[in-house]
Amino acid sequence: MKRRVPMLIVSITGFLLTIQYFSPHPASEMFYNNALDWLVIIGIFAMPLGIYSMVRIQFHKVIRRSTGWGYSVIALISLFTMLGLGYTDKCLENGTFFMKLFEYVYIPIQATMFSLLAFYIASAAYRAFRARNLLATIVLTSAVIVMLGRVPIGWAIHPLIPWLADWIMNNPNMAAQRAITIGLGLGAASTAMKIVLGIERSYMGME
Amino acid sequence: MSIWEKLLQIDRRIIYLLVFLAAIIPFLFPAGLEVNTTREVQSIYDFIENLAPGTPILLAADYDPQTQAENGPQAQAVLRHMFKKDLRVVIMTLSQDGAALAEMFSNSVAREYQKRRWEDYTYLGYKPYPSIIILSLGQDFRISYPRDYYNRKLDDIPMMQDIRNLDDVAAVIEIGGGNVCHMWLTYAHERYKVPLALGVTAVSGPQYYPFLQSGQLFGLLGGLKGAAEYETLMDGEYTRLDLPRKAIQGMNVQNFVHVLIVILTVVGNVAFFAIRRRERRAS
Amino acid sequence: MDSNPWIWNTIAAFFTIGTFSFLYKDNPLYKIAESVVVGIAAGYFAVLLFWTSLRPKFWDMIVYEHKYWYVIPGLLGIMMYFRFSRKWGWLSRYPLALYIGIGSGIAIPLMLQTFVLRQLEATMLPIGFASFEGFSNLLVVLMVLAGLIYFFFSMEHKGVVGKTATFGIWVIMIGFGASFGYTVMARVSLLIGRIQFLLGTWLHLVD
Repeated sequence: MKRRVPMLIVSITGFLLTIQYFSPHPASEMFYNNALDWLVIIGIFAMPLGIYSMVRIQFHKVIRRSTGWGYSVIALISLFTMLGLGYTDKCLENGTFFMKLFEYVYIPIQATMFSLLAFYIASAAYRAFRARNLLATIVLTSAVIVMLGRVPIGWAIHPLIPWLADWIMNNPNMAAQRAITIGLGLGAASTAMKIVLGIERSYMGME
Repeated sequence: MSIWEKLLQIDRRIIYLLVFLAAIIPFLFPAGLEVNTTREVQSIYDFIENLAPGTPILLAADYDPQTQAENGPQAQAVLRHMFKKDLRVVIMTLSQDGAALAEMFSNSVAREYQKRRWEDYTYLGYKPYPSIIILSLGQDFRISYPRDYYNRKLDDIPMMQDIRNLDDVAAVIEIGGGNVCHMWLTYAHERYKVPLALGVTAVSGPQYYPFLQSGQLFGLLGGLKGAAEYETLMDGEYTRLDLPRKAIQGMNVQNFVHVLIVILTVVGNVAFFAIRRRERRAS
Repeated sequence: MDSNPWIWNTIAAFFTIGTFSFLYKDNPLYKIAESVVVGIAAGYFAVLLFWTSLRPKFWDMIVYEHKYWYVIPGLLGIMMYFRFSRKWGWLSRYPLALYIGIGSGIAIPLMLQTFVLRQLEATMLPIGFASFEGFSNLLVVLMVLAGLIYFFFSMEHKGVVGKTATFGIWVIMIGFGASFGYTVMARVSLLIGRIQFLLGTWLHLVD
């Protein structure tokens, strides 16, 4: 009941859905449509799990007065402010206070946090991007050509640079990515098969 | 300590300052270099350009604030083109933070073209679990989206009357970054054979070239450069509506920072080899 | 305040600069920004999920469209929350099993089709020495094969296999170089977005 039934559900649904791909029969289509319909609803219910988890962690920090608990208070105030402002579905339309907090507080912070990476990558290029051996030299050369060839200044320096960048992207890069993609596809399909056949069970907390 | 060692040990904040300056100066003194278009961007433009007015098309804006700087100009340029061609545009998102972004940009671009919600375009909004949602769109939009973002029943929306599933749209243009693009490829293009083009962040750009070559994608916009190329192709429209060319403006800056990073890499390597040579001589 | 864009843009600029301050060193302003992001993200998502997913897809379906069987996937979704209970945790395996089973079943044929078969098919290119394109195609075929051999660990990388694998790793390194070049491009673009906001939207120094 605790382990076998869920595993049986995985195998039966997995097997049926694999076969469904090859069968255009109306009964199979109906089964497929209903399966998708159910999954959408299960998914909607499961999503707040993450929010619940976050609230729990922040509350625990405040109650235990852990290091930096004041920041958890700020997080909780922000959370409940949004929940309070979200009492009506109209809050999701442009121009409301709810959306303004999202647009002028959340978006700038998120976007800026990621933009910090520009500084780190420049620093990393200066400190760590070295032509120590043949392989590192290949990476470095390819990177420099693509970096210059993909911006307008590449054309201004010499038309060969963008041409070379284009050739790298469409030939060696494409070939390398294809080899990785094929490996990825084989890996993903075989893992899915192992799950359906009951060989892979770690997703249920079983060995 | 030699000059090379000193050079390698400079405070990281000096490098940050250089990057900051390289990003600010070109804004104030733009170089105005020309942006050249690539095949993969041109093919998206040509595809939309050749569609008849009124053709339904799906724009999936699956990006969030983190990548808005790259994906935002892509989505806006493509949507402007769709509205210019009088297509019926279905807009949706599979990114939770993208729901607000898509709502904002779709309505503002629609205002530029005086397009009416529910007649010329419909914004479906967000639903969780991308792979399941994409699969359900192939069967019927109403499975995942019985109502649009503004809580109007899809069956009551005039422009959605003859749009049931992915078979009824000319193509899907997916703007996003990361895994969701793979999902559109697998669950929309391969399963339902809908033509697909991607607008992706530059980070994920290189991994989609195999799909471009195999014909699984009919076009690809890579990062801000892709958006700048599309803005170049839509130049007349940007002039007519007096719109800022955000991506083209950004490319001016991109030039400088790229050159700075190349210089930093070269200087770093020269210093590294100078130190290594000296050490070898000493031993 | 509600309608004054300058005030809102100044708030956004304050958080932008506050987040940038992390480049100098970690500080309370950055930590506040971080906490605000966590709270707003969770609050926004809860409200969004409730109004645009839970209500139209579950509540309205049962109350207005009388599709009472929607209660079953709803209950399955709620069962996910038993994960937090030691005694009843096993109940969360049922909806998970349904999800994983259906997901895996759908994925098996599609993953193979998208990432393996179509990719292999596209590698069968017209090759030759008569044109540069034919020569590039020949290179692509060789590079994909070499890349695949590099990832094939069931054979020892010695002799011809070893040499091919070495060529494969060169190709992959060119691909990584291109990826690095594109990563630089991406990170710089994010920074450009923030500078555009500060100099343009906020200070109106540029268009």
